[in-house]
Amino acid sequence: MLTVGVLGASGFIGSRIVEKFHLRGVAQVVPIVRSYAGLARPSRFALEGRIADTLDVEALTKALSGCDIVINAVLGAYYQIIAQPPILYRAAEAAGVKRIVHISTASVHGQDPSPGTDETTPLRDDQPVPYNNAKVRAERQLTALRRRGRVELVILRPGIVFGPRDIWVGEIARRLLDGTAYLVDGGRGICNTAYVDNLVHAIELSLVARVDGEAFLIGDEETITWAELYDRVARAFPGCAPPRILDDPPLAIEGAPLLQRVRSHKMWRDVMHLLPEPLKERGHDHLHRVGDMVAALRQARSQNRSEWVMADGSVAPVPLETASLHRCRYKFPSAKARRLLGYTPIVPLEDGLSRTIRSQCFAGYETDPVFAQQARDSAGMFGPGAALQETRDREIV
Amino acid sequence: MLHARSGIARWGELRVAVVGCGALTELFYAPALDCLGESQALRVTALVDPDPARPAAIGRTFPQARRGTDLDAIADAVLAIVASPPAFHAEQTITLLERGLHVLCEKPMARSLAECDAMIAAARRNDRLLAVGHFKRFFPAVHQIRDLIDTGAFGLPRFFDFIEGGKFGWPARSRSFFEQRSGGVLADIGVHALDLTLFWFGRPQHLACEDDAMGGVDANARVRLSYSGGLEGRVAVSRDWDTPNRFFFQFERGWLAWNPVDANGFELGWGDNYALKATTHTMARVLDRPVAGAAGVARHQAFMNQIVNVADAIRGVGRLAVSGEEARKVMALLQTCHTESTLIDMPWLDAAERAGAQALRC
Repeated sequence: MLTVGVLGASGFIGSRIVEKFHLRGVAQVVPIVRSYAGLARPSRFALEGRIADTLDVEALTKALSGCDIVINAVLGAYYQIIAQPPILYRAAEAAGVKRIVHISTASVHGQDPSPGTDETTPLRDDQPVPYNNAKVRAERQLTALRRRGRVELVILRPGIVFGPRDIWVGEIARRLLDGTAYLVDGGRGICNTAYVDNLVHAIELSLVARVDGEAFLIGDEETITWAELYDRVARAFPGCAPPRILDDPPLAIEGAPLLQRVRSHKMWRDVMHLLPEPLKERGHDHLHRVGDMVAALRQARSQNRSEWVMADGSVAPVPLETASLHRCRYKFPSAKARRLLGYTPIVPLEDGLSRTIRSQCFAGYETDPVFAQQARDSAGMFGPGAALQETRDREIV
Repeated sequence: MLHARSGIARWGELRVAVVGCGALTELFYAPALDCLGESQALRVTALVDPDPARPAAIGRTFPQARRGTDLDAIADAVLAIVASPPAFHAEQTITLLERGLHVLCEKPMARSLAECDAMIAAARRNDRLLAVGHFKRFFPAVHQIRDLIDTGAFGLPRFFDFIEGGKFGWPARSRSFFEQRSGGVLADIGVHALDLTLFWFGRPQHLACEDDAMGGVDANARVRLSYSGGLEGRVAVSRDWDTPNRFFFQFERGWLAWNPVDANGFELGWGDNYALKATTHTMARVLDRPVAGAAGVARHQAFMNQIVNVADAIRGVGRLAVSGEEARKVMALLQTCHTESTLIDMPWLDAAERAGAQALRC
């Protein structure tokens, strides 16, 4: 059986990889997380979780020892996304890892790609969304490292990955419930969904597929618009306000924030690397405090504005990334993944949505009565067959 | 009503040893003891942790304290605070009691009822006090809720639904949190919620429990409780998901909701149009009429009040709020939960995964 290291094992995608691979016996899983706190999810299983900062080559090499394959599911800040590839590749080589499966994103092609876009379309790192550029640069570095290195590389580019513990459906539900949901241009754009289990299936195929140095777009079979997705979630939360329709909202264009720029600066990273751990933490703390002060100043400035405004009269700027997603005209193809990996989505979109919405109930956000009752019944709680244990005769005093 | 400074005038110097210098000591006990020490009420004389770097780090706050890697570093303390991982609570507490110290042991009290009983027996045998750190018992909101239940102001409680937790963010300094011997989320934050159910409603008549440990420790757990008189309720805790963090109570004539990390605020309502967001204050009287006095203490002051309560009890000027005997009750409930627990339903697992999960519990 393969031994597979999972970087980012505490995250949304990483924790599902660990769960699925371990429960189905796909591989011997080694969860790797940045701090002890990250062990909370993997430690549901009797697995040996390892601790490593993915920007620390020595720690990472040690954490990868004994792994045949490493899956990179780390969700980092932009500076981490860009700084990590050479460190990961060096560590993987030193540890004798045979293959890296790198989880990138379909957003390397932009949130609203031109029709006909596929894996052969050249990538650009001068896009208006900094996240896209960071992921492009990470892919380029890994691809270049593979050309002169020993470790094989498979890059997966999933679309909007959703599922239990995600940020997408959870955030849509939250916004629908608190009345702040909106759709740009009526949400007629295509949402390039990838249910997390379909992505994990593609990852599983990538462990052994006879491919190297290739990138693959990964998505669900079905096509859904953003409006349809919001409607599907809204139906599970009766009484929530419908999303506002914004036809031509002001856009908020994200620049690389000051802190990101400081952190990504080579001099800062070099200095941090030399410091002992407590001082390193303090350095990061101080940087955070500067960020907090800037945020507080911004907030104070906004609070000085006149109170004579209508409660819902103005439209806050919409992030460019969100507006572009809602206007997406194109469904990414998974043809290359089908051809070379043998990929076929294993979970239909409707099933994925149903499981995701039911998971909101699991987390304590009651959804519509049908879902809530299903969850309770299936959990054996509150349902008619619930078997409560007598405590009278036990040692509860 | 307890205050952080109550009883201070009556204290002489109280010498305190801290056993376990991890995140809990760094974030709670050290600043609390430092704050109380400034008033000359107590002095930290020993810091103990198997990792010598940790007493050194905490020692920056208490430069006069002796530092050591085992209990022998404790020379002259009167009170020991045991803030080590739960696996060490019983052994360390018993040793310290046998050496004649009073002990404030962090929750969960121990790993088993047998350990609890041994700790209680050691306290009795040596005529020392054993307190357990259920610091939420010092929240004004907790007492206000109990008053509401006991007085029947909203009528009888009909049901409760407590959910607490979020993605684990505690700056743990070791993996001990996630080892089998420390227990999972139910033993960690669930023990607070279960303790409060006992404080508010008494002993349940029935319970059912489920969790998601699959060869490791639970990150999610749910307990359903029912009581004589028809009251039913649920306690759900998670170190995996961001939850609403809300304790909801439905009474015959109103409702109440409380965020379990808020020491003195809650929401309540009894009509259809408006709800109250309330904060607790001490009861006072002006011109022989009741008025809201000083604001109830916040979380950190409540934590300090716990230490003050133990110190007062050592001085013989008060009773322990949460003794070993009192804490044993929730440990009994917890043990029943662990014994009876079944696999929680995770709606995202497919059939093969469910079978795998079930097999891992056998």
